Order: sequence, then structure tokens, then C-alpha cells
Amino acid sequence: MFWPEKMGYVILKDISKRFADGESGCRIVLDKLSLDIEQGDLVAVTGVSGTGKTTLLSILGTLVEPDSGTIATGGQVVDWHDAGRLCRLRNRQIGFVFQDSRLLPWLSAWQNILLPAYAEGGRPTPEMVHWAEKLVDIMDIGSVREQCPQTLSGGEKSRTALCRALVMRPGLLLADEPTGQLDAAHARDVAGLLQRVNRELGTTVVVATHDTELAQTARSIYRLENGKLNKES
Amino acid sequence: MSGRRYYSRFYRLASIAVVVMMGVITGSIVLGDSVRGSLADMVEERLGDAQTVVRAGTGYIDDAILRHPLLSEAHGYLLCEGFVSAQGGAMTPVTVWGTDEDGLNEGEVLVNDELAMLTGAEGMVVLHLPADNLVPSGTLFVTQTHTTQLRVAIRGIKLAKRGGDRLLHDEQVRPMNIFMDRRELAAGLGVGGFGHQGEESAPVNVILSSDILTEEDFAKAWHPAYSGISLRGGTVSSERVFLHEGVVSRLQPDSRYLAYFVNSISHHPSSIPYSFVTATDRLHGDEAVLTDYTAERLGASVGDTVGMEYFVVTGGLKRMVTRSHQFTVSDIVPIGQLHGDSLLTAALPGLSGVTRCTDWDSDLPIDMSRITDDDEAYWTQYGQAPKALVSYEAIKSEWTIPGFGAATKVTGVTAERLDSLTPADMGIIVAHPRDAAIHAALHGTDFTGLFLALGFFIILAAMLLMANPLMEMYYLRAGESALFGTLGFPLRSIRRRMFREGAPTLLAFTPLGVAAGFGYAALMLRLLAGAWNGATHTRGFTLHVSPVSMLIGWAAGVIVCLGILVWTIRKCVVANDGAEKKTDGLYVIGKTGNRKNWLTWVILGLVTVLVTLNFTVYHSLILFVVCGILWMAGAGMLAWRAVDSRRMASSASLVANSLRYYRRQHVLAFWTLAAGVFTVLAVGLNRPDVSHSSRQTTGGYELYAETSVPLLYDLNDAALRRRLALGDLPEGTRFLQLARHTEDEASCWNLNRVATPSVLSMPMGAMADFGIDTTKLTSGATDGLIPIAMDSEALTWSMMKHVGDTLDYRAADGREVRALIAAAYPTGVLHGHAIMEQRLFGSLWPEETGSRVVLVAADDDGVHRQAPSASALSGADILRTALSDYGINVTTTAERLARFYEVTDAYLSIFLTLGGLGLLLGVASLLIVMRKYLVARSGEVGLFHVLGFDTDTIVRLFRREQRLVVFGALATGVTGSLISISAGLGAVSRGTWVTATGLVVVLFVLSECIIHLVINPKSIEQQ
Repeated sequence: MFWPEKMGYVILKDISKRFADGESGCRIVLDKLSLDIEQGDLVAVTGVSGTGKTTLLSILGTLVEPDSGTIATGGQVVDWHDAGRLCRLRNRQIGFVFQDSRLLPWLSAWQNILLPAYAEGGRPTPEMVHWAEKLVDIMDIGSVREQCPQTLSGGEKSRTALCRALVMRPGLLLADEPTGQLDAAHARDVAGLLQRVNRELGTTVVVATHDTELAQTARSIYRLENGKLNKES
Repeated sequence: MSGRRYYSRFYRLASIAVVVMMGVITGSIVLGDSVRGSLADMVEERLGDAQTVVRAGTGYIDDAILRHPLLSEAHGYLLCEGFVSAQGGAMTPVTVWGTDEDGLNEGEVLVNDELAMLTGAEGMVVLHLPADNLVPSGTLFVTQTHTTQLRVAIRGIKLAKRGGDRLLHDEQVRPMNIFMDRRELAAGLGVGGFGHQGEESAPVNVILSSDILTEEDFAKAWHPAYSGISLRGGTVSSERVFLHEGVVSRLQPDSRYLAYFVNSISHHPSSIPYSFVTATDRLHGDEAVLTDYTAERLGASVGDTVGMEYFVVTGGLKRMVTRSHQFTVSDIVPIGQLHGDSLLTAALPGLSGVTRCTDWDSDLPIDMSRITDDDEAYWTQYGQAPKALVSYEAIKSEWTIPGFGAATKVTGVTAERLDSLTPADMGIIVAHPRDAAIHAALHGTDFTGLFLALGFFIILAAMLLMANPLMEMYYLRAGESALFGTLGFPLRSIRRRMFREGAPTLLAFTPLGVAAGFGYAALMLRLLAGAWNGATHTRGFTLHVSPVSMLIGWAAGVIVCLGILVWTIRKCVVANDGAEKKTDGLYVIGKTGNRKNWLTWVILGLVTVLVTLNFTVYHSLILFVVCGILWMAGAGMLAWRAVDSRRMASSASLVANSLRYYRRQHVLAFWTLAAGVFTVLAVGLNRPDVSHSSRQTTGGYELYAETSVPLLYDLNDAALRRRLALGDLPEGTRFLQLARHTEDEASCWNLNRVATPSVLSMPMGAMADFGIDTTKLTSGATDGLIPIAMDSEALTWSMMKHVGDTLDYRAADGREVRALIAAAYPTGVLHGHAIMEQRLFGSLWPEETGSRVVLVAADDDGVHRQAPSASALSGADILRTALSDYGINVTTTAERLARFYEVTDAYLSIFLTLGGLGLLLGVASLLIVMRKYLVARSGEVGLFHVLGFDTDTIVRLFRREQRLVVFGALATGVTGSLISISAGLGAVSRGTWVTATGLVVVLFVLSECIIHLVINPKSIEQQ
């Protein structure tokens, strides 16, 4: 069985990724990078812009296939050729939070939260709806749940996006610069929420950020430089 | 790398659209030029080198006139209408040209191409000719024989370049011409021997000259003798027996003589049957002079009163009515005084020149049993010598027939007075038809405008096809524009830069568009000669190209092209003010407008009620169209309401939410496509249903007949009907017989601009049946104008005139008369004709008596039938058999209407085809719109991926969304159009159904293909 358990334990081994760089050749973004992420860990990946944080998260989220190396969890190696399984993996095991929230403008906040339930032509189960309502309460967006994204504040959008990322109870939450567009107060809120998710739900959280304050909330901090990860704490 | 090269794929698409658009615009202009040019070429074929046409009206001209030096370049023809019995017994009307040009022997004829297609280029054919003779057919004295038959051998085809398609009217439909020896034709018509040259001569009634001759020129060559008017010893007589009233008054004679045939002369208790009597100006009041023979038989003396009974002709048809007059005997003269006086007699056909009274062969209903031995003895001894003379003044109003039957002889005329007669006095018209014909050809049906309208959807689709890639390109280049803005470039400068890049690129393709225009025009011309021949009734047109028109087409295309470019730049290249684009804002999911729901259901309910009522009661075309439009609105609103009411409960609701959010784009595409499909199908399939024609289109008549030879008698006369073997017609059968003055064909079959349409004579009482407002006709007769009513469609399209305009006609006596179009009547079986009140018609063209058009109501019960009754159909057979000698062609009025509607049908088919092409092109441009739409939503696609939606699911969602819009629009448009044309569903031909169904199927298939092409796993993964 593929990914029988919640994916909380991830091993990256010798992951390399390069991108074409004009006529001069290619640029190595990740260079034989290896990383073990424990179940329930809260990991921060920092680094200056362009060092490959988003690429690393995309590989972790199975959105981008590395040029070489393997990702494994629970002793199983990710099979990049099985697109259907990768989709199911992303849908059920991985939650994503982005800098710009990425809410569909034609759905209300509540519908955006439930959106992952429709991925395979299905519909939300009562348990899922109940869980989503609980998340809404946790994130304190109950008053705006029927509003469309254009009318939400930045913080409300971030919290809605976080609810959507957690609605399928993923084992792994990937957050790419989640506080990048927020003011300091809202950034603190989001950082607190990520900690709470990690602490209360036991979800493994990987945050890519150059926000040192957010990075400091993580138990493990890695700095990505020249395609390599250096553990800072 | 320039933007032009980098974005070449967008420019390539836009350029294709430029070529298509320019092709249709230029092609339509070239098409108009070609039709006009071809019609002008046909003028050459019709008239040859003739610059002057001299027509003798209903009379004849001695061919000796052709020896006059002024007519050295002229040829004379004897022209008449006849008919040939074609295969299957149908009568084909033909124009018979008696000519000396072709060296034809007796019994030989040539036929033109058009007739040869019917008769073949060789073999025998029976030619029926009107049994004319020199005496005008409208007088009382004509023979009962209406046509003569000649069995002739077709020697070959007379080609158009040799004058085979000669025609004196402005029509593009080729005539059915037959050419034979003029002398043989003259003999067949009974007009041989006319003129100076005795039995061997043959008159002409048409002279064509390659010189330009004025009326004055012709008058120099003409003398009254050439028209059969002779002067001997101060007495003027005519070879046509009767002298026109106009001629008589011009001659100012001392005395007029009119020989007449009376039914009886009586002095109680005695009576003499069937006698010749001559009226003269020498007697006055009610005076009569009897011969001693007559006085003795009647026992009358001077001072006694004698009565005379006689037939007179009333009305336009030869309705013979018995009238009588009482005369006072003023003198009794010896018979020898009158016998042998040629002044008192006239050669009346069928009565003169026979050996016995019982040999009389006349249409007069002579009761031979009344003729006694004394009468025969008188005839043997004195022949036509009159038995009495009466006062001309007393009988003038009854015996003379206005226009041609004023006298048989006049006396006391000097040579000078005779010479004062002009050709116009004899009804001779000198015309120069070439200029008028060229004008008619060049100003006829405007095919440029017509095909621009018919190809409107192609032009519109090409404009969309051009605008879409440009908009997509400018959308993609928004960042570039923003960058320029950031660098301090003013917006105008950025737009100008875009224009300078786009304009030369697109304009470079315009010459190719002009070339495509030639191809388009050539294709349309080929189709007009083939599949769409019903619109033009020609064998085709030739391509004519005018540099000016090409330049106009190119300029028009360039203006449209640059206009679209400027519009797209102004729309898409806008100032980046950083403001987020306004969106729908707050809305609550699942909440619907109850009021709109209510309105939607009311509309759909109303449509149901109206359609039901219309099917069962009204049969109104307009109401059906309104229903179709209402249905579109209702169905569209219902569909959008359904989208609005979708709650988030399934993946289908995702589609509904997306549709709702992008409503503006979808609604625009939905209604544009639905309206396009509705318009193309509703117009293209909108065939008038003859079975639901109004009473005014047929006047309540079920049969329409035309005769090649005028029917002189009133078919409503039961006795006459029995004589003509029409006794088997149902008792209630009613006829309306109409005389026709033939001018130009003004129906939809003629593409030339018509100046003088043919005129039908109609009693005022019958006009209301055809929807003619007679009050307008009676009030319109002012300032010497002759009021006429004109068919509304012919008025608009063939003549391009309006009610209140005037038309110029030539009366039989050469007068120019002006007719006022006082009223328009609904187009129907009399389409293309001007209608004139009977008496006015008779005053203008008195010799055009008898009816050429006969309308028949088989059951005169006042009920308007949508289809001819069984008795009407059997009546048609009876008419065909009984009146075959008249060259009768009988159709039902429904069939005749259907033939007119064929032209409309052909144009509608063209619209359907070209509109369909436009729709296909428009649907194809959806490809670009969808791609643009997909690119704009690439972020959403990415999000779906992130959230674990597999590619197939995303493809399914997007496809479903597009299908709902495209197929919903197609279905709404198709059903709306079907409702709107339901009035004439039965009238749509199978071919049209196949075309329309094929179009709809292709639209659906093409739409699905485009959706697959744009939205597929590969394109989704690329986002």
C-alpha cells in the first residue's frame, strides 16, 4: 500500500535540481541535498531569495520532480510516474499554504475551504464538514465564511488558506512564505497558528521563509545556500 | 527581436481574418460589378447593334419604307407572340420574328439557344400564331378563329451573337425566340398583301436601325401610305378598314362614313334581318335614308319611324349587347344610287366577300334561321350595299369604338391634310432603348449591397477572428505596457507604438484579401449560375472588375482593419493605475432573485400560450418570430437562473460557481452565439408558406392563367362558355379577365431596374380583392396623371420607387402619359404588374383589348381556400383543353406564388449558407477566446493541481463549463429559431432542411472539437 499512514516522516536523499539559465547553461538550485524530517516536527527553511526554497517545497509537495535523488516516507519511495497516486497524495497527505493565499475568486471562503474534497469528483463527508467548521472556529473566520475572497482582509485570506490546507487532515503542511504579504501583527498570528497546528494536530510543518521571527518559532531551522541545507539549530 | 516577430503567431491569425474579411468585402463589390457588367453585356446581346427601335404599336408598316435612304442601316421585322406545343402538351410562349436576314425557306425556322433546350436543334414543331388580320381584333367584326397553326422544321440554332437572343425589354432572362421568313409569317397572321406591293408584300411592325434616328428623321421617311392610309379623290381609307378617331380628327374631313352591321331594320309589323347600314355626317339628328328596296319590304315611307337593332361592344372584353335606335325616314332613294358606291361599304372580315349570307363566318351570334330567300337574293344582287343610311351623330356613341373604330371612310380630305399625319398619330413609336437598357442594367438589383448583407456574418466573424488574437496578444503584453508606463512613456505613446507595429503587419495582407475577393466573387457567380440559379434565372454572369471598385473594396477593408486594431489597442492597452479590477464583490451563495425567476416562468408560459394560439388560430409569422425571441430570452434566463441556484454540493456546482463568477464573459459569448444561430437559422429557414397565404395575395382566386393570344370574350357569359367547351366548369365558377399592356417584367425575376412595368387593366370593383385602396386611386387622378397601383415588392426592389412617384408610358396614339403610383398593393399573384382602372387603360391602349391574364375562382362561395379545391384542379384541365388555341398556361395561384417565393427562397438559402459559414468562422474564433480564457485562469489550474485534482478532473471541469455555454447557446438559438419559423415549417424544402441540419450538426461537432483542442490534458499541464 502506498502512503498507508499519515505522511509525517519524510526523507530526502541526494536531491538535485537544476534549471536552464539562458544561453550560459544551467543553474544548480539543489545540489545532492538530503534531509530527514521527523513526524510532528516544525521545520523552517530560510535563505535569501532565489536560493531554491520554493523549489524544495515543490519537490516535497510532489509538484516538481527532482533531476535526481529520492523522496521517501514510511519506507516507501515516491513514484513520480504514477500521476494519479501523486494527486491523491497531495490531496490527502499534504497541505499547502502560499504567500498569496491562492483562493478561488468564484467560491466563498467556506467553499474554498472545502474545495479539496471535490478533487476526485466526490463531495465533503459530514465528518469533513464538521472538521472544517472546527477549523473555522480555530482560525476565527466564522463571521466571513460566506464572503467571497475579494472582500476578505489579508489575514482572513491567510487563515482561510490555512483552513483549506488542513481540511483533509494532512500529515505534512508546507508553507511557502506564509507571512510574506502580511503586516507584523498578522504575521505573528499566522506564525502562532502554524505552531498551534503543529502542536495540537501533530501535523509536520515545513515553512520556507526569510522571516527570521517566523523561523525562530520552528524547532529545526535550516539555511539553504548553494543548493545545500545547513542546519542552524 | 521585434515584437512583430515575437508575437507572429497572433499576427498570423489576425492576418488570416484580414484576408477573409477583405475577401468578402471586395468580393461583394466585384460581384456587384460583375452582375452589372453582365447585365450590360446582355443588353448588347438583346439589342445587337440597334440604336433605334421603331415599333408600329398594334399596326403595321409597309416594308417599302426600308428603301428610304434614311433607313439604309435598318432592318424590318414582323414580330408577334405565339406559342409552341412542347413535349407533354405544355404550351411554351415564344416570340416569333419574321425576318429576311436568315435566308429561310418556307416551313423552316431557326430557334435561339434557350428555346432549343426545349425543342432541340432540329426536328418539327407546331407553331401557333394569333389569327390576326388587318382589322383590329377589338372591333365587333373578327373571325372566330383565334390561332393558326404552322408545322415548321427547325433548321438550326440562331446564336446570341447573331441576334438569337434579341429582346426589346429590359430583362436578363433569355427569351424564347423563333425566327422565320417574314412573308410566311405575314401570310400566317393574315396580314400579307399589306402595302403597295400587292399580295407578295409583307409588312413589318418593328424596325431596328444601327443609326440613331429621331422621330423627325423617321417622319421624313414615313408617309401615311406606309401605314395603309390611302387618299383617292379626297376619300381616305385604311387597309385596316377602320380609321382611328385621332386620325379622323387630324384629317378634318367633310364627312365621315361608318359601315355597320345591324341585326334588324323594322317598321311594324315588317322586319329585315342582318343588314349593312352606313352612318354618315350627311344626315343629322335621327334621320335615316332608306333604299327603295328597304322601304318596300318594310312598307315604310318618308316621315315614318324605323327601328334598328344592333350589337355593340361594351367594356374591355367583347361583351356584345343588343341595343336599338329609332330613326325617322327622311328620304327614300333608289338602291342603284347606293349599290356600287365603295364609300358606303367596308371589307368586314367574315362578312364581306362571301357568296351567300349563310356563308358569313363571324363571332356575331347570327341566327341563320332568320335569313330568308329575299335576303339571299338581295345579297346575290347587291352584296354589301347598305339598305339604309343613318345619321352618324345618332349612332356615334354606340357604333364607334374609342381609339380605332371611328370611321371606315372619310371624304373631303386634301393631300396637305393627309401629309400632316405623323407616325405618332398612327401609334408608331421611335425609341432609343440602348441608353435606357444600360441604365436599367447598371442600376438594377444591387448585388454589392445584397452580398455584403448576405455575407454579414462572415465579415462579423472575421472581425471577431481578427480582434480576438490581437486582444489576447495585448493581454499578454500587459506587463510590457506597464513597464513602458513605469519608464515614463505616456499611454498615447505606448498605444502608438503598438499601432505602428500592428498596422503594417496587417495591411501587408490586404492585397492578398483583394485577391481572395476575386476568388470569392468567382465562386459566388458560379453558384448563382448553378445551385442558386433560382435567385437570378440566368445562365450565369461573367467576372467584371473595375479598378475603382477594387480600390473602394480595399479602402473599406483597410478602414475596418485599422478600426479594429485601434479599438483593440484602446481597449487592452490601458493605464496601469494599480487598482484591482472590480469584480462581482459580495454575493451570497445560493440566493436567487425570486422576481427574475417569476419573470422567467411568465415568459416561458406566455411563449407556450402564444405558440399554441398561433398554431391553431392566428398563423402569424411575426407572432412566431416574437415567440422565438421570447423563448430565447426565457430559456437563456432559465439556464442562468439554474446556474445561480446551484449550491455547493458536487463538482458540477464548481462549474456553476465558475460560470457565475465569469458571467460577463460567458453571457457575452452565450448571447452572441445564440443570437447568431437564431438569426441565421430563423432568417435562412423562414420560407413563406403558400398554404397560409392571405386572401389578398390571390384575390380569392384559385387558378391563374395567361394566354398567348388575347381572349376577347367574357368567360362569365354562360352561353359563351358552352360555345368554348367550358360548359363542364362548375356553375359557380367566376372569372376575372385582365387585359395587359406589356412593358418590362417588374417581378423579382428581373434584375434590371424597371422603369415601366407591364400594366394590367382591372375593373375598380375587383381591386379591393387584391388589397388595393381604390380611394387612393380615385383621389390620385389629378393634374392629368393616370393613377395606378403597384405591387409593393416590385415597387421597392425592381423599380426602387415609392408611392407618389410617377412613371412615363406611351399611349397607343404616341402620346406620352405620366402615371402616378397612387397606391401599393400586397405582393401576390399579380406580382410585378401595375394595375390601372379598366376605362383609363382602354383610353391609353384601346387596341389592347381582350384578356391576357385570367383568374379563376372555381367555387364562388366567398370562402378563401388555402389550397386549390378539387373542382379548381379539374377546372384547370378543362381550361387547358378548351382554350388550347389561345396558348393558355394554367397554374394554381398557390403554384404561382410558390414560384415567386422560389426567388426569396434562393436568397434565403444563400443567407443560410453564407451565414452558416460566418457562424463556423465565429465558432472557430471561440478557439482563441477559450485559449485566452484558459491562460487567464492558469493560476486556478495550478491551484487545482496543488490541491490534488488530477489533470483529467481539471480537464473535465473546464470542458463542462465551456460545453454548458457553447451548447447551451447553440441549443437556445436552434430552438428559438425553430419556434420563430414554425409558421412556415412545411414550406421549407428538404434540401434546405439538410443544409440547416448539417450546419447545426457541424456547429456542435466543431464546438466540441474546439473544446477538445483547447482544453486537453496537455494544455492543462502547460498552465
